[in-house]
Amino acid sequence: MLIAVLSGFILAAASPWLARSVGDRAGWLLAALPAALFVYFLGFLPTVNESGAQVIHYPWIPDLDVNFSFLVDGLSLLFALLISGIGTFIIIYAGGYLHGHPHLPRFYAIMFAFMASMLGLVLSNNLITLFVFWELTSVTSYLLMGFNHEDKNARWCALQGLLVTVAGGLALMAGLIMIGVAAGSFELHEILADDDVLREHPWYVGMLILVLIGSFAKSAQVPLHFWLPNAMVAPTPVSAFLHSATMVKAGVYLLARFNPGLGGTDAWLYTLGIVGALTMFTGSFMALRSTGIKAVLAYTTVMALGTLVMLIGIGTEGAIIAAMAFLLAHALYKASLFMLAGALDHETGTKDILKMGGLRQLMPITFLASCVAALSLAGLPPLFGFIAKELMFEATVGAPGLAFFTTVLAVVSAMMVAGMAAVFAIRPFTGKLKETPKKPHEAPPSMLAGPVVLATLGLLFGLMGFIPASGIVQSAVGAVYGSPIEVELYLWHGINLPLMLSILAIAGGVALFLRWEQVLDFYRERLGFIDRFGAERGYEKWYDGVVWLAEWQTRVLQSGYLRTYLTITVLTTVVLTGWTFFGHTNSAVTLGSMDMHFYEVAIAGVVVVGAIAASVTSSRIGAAATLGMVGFGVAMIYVLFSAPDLGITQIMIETLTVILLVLVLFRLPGFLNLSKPADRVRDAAVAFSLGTLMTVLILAVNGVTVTDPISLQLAEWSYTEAQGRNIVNVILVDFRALDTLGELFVIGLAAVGVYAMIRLRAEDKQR
Amino acid sequence: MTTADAFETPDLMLALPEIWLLAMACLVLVVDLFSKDRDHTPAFWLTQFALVSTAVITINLQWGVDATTFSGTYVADDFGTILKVAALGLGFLGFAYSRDYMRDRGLLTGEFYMLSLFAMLGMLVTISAHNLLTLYLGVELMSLCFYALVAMDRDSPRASEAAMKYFVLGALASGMLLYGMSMLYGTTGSLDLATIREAAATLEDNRILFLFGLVFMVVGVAFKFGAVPFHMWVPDVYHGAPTPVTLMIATASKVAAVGLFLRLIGEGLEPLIADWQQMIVILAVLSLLVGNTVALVQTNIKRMLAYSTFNHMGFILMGLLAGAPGGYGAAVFYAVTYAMTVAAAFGVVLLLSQKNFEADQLTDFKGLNERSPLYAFIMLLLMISLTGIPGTVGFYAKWLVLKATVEAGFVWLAVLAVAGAVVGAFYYLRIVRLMYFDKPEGAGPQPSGSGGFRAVLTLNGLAVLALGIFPGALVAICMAAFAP
Repeated sequence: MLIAVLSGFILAAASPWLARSVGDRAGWLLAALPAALFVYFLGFLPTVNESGAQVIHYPWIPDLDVNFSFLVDGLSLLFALLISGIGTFIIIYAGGYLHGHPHLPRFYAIMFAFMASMLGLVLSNNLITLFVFWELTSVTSYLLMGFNHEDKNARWCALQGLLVTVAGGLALMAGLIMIGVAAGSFELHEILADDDVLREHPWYVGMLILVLIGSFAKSAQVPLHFWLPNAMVAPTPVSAFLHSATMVKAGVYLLARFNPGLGGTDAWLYTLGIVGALTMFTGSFMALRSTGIKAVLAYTTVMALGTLVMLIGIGTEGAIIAAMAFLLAHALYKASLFMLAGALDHETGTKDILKMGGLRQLMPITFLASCVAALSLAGLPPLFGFIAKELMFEATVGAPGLAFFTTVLAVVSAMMVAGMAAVFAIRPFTGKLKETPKKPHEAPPSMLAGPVVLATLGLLFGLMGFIPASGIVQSAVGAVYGSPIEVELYLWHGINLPLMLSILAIAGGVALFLRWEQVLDFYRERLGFIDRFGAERGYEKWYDGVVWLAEWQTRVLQSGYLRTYLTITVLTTVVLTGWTFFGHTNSAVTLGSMDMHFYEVAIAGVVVVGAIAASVTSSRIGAAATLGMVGFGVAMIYVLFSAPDLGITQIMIETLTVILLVLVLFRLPGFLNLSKPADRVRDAAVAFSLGTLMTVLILAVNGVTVTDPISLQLAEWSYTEAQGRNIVNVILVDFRALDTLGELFVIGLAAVGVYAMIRLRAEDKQR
Repeated sequence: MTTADAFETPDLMLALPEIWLLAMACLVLVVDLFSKDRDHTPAFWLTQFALVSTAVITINLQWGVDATTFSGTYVADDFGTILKVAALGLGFLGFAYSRDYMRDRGLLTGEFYMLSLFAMLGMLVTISAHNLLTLYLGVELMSLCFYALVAMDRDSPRASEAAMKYFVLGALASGMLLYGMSMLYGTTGSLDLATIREAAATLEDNRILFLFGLVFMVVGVAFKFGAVPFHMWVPDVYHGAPTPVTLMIATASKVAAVGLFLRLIGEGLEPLIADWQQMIVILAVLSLLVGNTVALVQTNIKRMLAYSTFNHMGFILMGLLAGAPGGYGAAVFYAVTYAMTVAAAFGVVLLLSQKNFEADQLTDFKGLNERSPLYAFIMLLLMISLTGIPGTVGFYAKWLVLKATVEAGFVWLAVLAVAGAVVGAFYYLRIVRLMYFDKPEGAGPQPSGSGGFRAVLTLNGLAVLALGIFPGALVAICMAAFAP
């Protein structure tokens, strides 16, 4: 199993080389791997159908709860089969479509890496590896979308897709972590086995929102749907693969996977139901007004994704059956439609439906396959798409609480899609042959194999519904629903409400098809404003807003002025201290005693005056001199408190630094006062706040006596340990010998500095 | 306290890494003085040898050990070993990347090696400190060397301005740190971290004073981290300093800052976790929010990396504030791998810089893929890792931290962090786009640099990938260091 999942990565590394050495037919050869994988996954079907989910476990980083463990059940097998099966045809198709493209080998490499990531994503049983593969699909699909990187638009769109999906992915990461921590396990089968552990957890809403953001971004739900049509800039094989079974379905997969654990609540029902229904409607509406052949398909993909999300949200038995059937049907017809669209584009050189016509004779096989696939898209019997749509109507009619809302939107959407299906299948092929940039002829076999086979499957599954039903859909439904359900799929359900709705939808679709030109004109004239207020505008506005915020922040916080920085630092400190102070109820601070002698007051006054003078003077020399006052004042305080050694050191240092400062200041240009009076007042307030804080703190500390003052011990030891009666002497020479040495050293250093300065000036004068 | 009989001969062997590094630094000084080599080749090789040998000694003597010496002022233990080896390794990378650049600008002097080595020594001392004074000594030794290193390019006004700002703000922060320490000493009567820890656990009377001391120390530590709102120096210094110095400040010093936090707050003040946790939460939140958006509009990659630092510091603080072994281990893992990744990013900037040309504009990266697919790929790995996308080590770093945060009960903080990381994705991935999809303006800078430089850089870049695939061993080491 590990090899099966990782083989894509290995082939990705080898494929450029293979593609170069084999040449033109490399596509057929390379397709052997996905084909083999398809067969390999088929081999699991009987076991899973009989005995349920299988867990295959390989340890990777057990310390981190990260393991390569794979969960093989109906749901993951359904996806794995679609990925490998459609992947096979896509690789063959790409060989024809990108024939002669200089970067074709690179294309194969990224494509295989993407396919492997996708397989890993759907098969992972471990939340972490699931997420790893999830993000790998984002990155590799980014590279695929930006494949034509000379095109500026392609780069922009690819980046948009990447940002939306990676952003969603990171939200998902947080959600998965919460799920893992809440459930106490990072293995899916254990998390989902315990039914209510997530639903009843206090974090339920949080994890739900995060998982939904991730899924909605990936599966292009409103309002994050805008990136998906833009992703059409990718080469057509990529679009066909991404839109049918892979990338965009990953979000749907995730929702389906977590349905047993997170689903079933009102929050789940209403969020998914409403968002899904709105997406369904938006997608089909946007499809209706598009004329680009790929854009039409892209918007119908949005519609399909919305439908799937809505069905999973509804979550009844019928809804889940409908979801799985619809998923399968959609994968089949959408892949073939995209490949056919690519064939049309490849052969005619245009992507605009309005510019094509009369291709029936020239491209008969394409025409035929288009008809079959489009019928399935429109939901007509006897195709599989019809069964899926019937089931969908049945589910919406029975939706708890949302029946009316979802049914109306579903019918309207189905009308529009049916109309567009008709446009797609009939427009390019009938009428007069139109002049196109390239002279059209039938596409090569490599480009027809996929659409023909997939379209035929759509027909086959429609006629013989028991094949998909018992083959895979039943197991998949069981996995999503959480308990086994009997599934039977057949075309005729008798005359009932869903059938009526179907007929209504198809009738509406025919009407829309016949009046399509008028619809387009009407849209252009009356509804053009939608483009101005759409979600994409929102994305752009948000992008601009972030840039504006960034510039504002730079202006305010990162002005480049040191004084701003100091102000912020000081204020934060004051606030934090204040917060600590007021945050504690027992924050009584004992202030130390305040009895002072008058000469102490006098010295303190000198220091304060010096400090104030230093900060207001506009002369540098004056500032140096007044700072000197502060220093000498402090020295005097040391002397008064019986620390003559400190006092002497302080005086010497002060003298030397004042000399140094004066020497330097002579060489500086004149003093400029750059600040406004208002600024100075503000700065004074900031300084005052810090000063007040420090004063209060010092007084507070002064009031604390923890241990005996060291002076008592020193007095005792000076005789017993150092045999000296002069305590100061003993302290300086014995106890603090190293300190004294250090002080001497500092003074010496300062003196050397002064000497160097003086000599420098002397040399200058000599010159 | 007694004097004569309290004196014990310290176990010098335990502190051999620092002693050895000091001796080697002095040796470098002397050798360089007498060397006639204009490129200072002997100093370079001796410096690199000093770092490697110190790392080897550290691993041999201190891994698996938990012991103190020098009367309890120095401690050797597991997480200290990890941080030291990481810091030394980052220093090694820094020197390997910077040689060509400094030589081209006439800045490759003996002082560069000396000051950097002493800064490394300061980091090692900080990481192994078990006493407030040792801690302060280490921090100051490191900081003072960095102030001087930032100003090394004396002809550059930008560098002088940066150094000035760095010095003034740094001095203020050091003052706060020291002031906080003095209050701790005042209330507990001890400088020893173990004693302080005991005192903190049974604190009653002077609790509020103790907490004030805590506030001041948090401010000092936050400054060294460059955590918001004590971050203002970071962009100016990163931008103004010569790129190799920026590299050292951005990498090794952050690892040392984690050491500082773990010793001082994580270890010494562990009993007061309820009090400091709130403050760190504020710092982490601000770090995650502020600055990240600013990085979006930067056109200079050094400034961009500076702004993005805040976000990563926010993540490291998140790991630290969880206050549990898992959180500490995650923070150490994050710091080490982040520093490694950023070192390589600066390495690429240095690689593209030429004589008289600084490749520090984002536009210089346009179309790098066509000029040098290898280094474009390495840069791609680095940017992906900094974003936190799986496949690279950055993902596991974020993962571990987020897990620890959620387990500590700060779910909202984890969500906020993820939102910050999303913004980060914008500017990191923009560089990827520039390299792969854009056309260069003019010819664009070619990769320069000697073979050795390129080889080390390539290995550094690939290590980010290799650790992204096999992170198990490093994670196990980081977690084991904090296992109770």
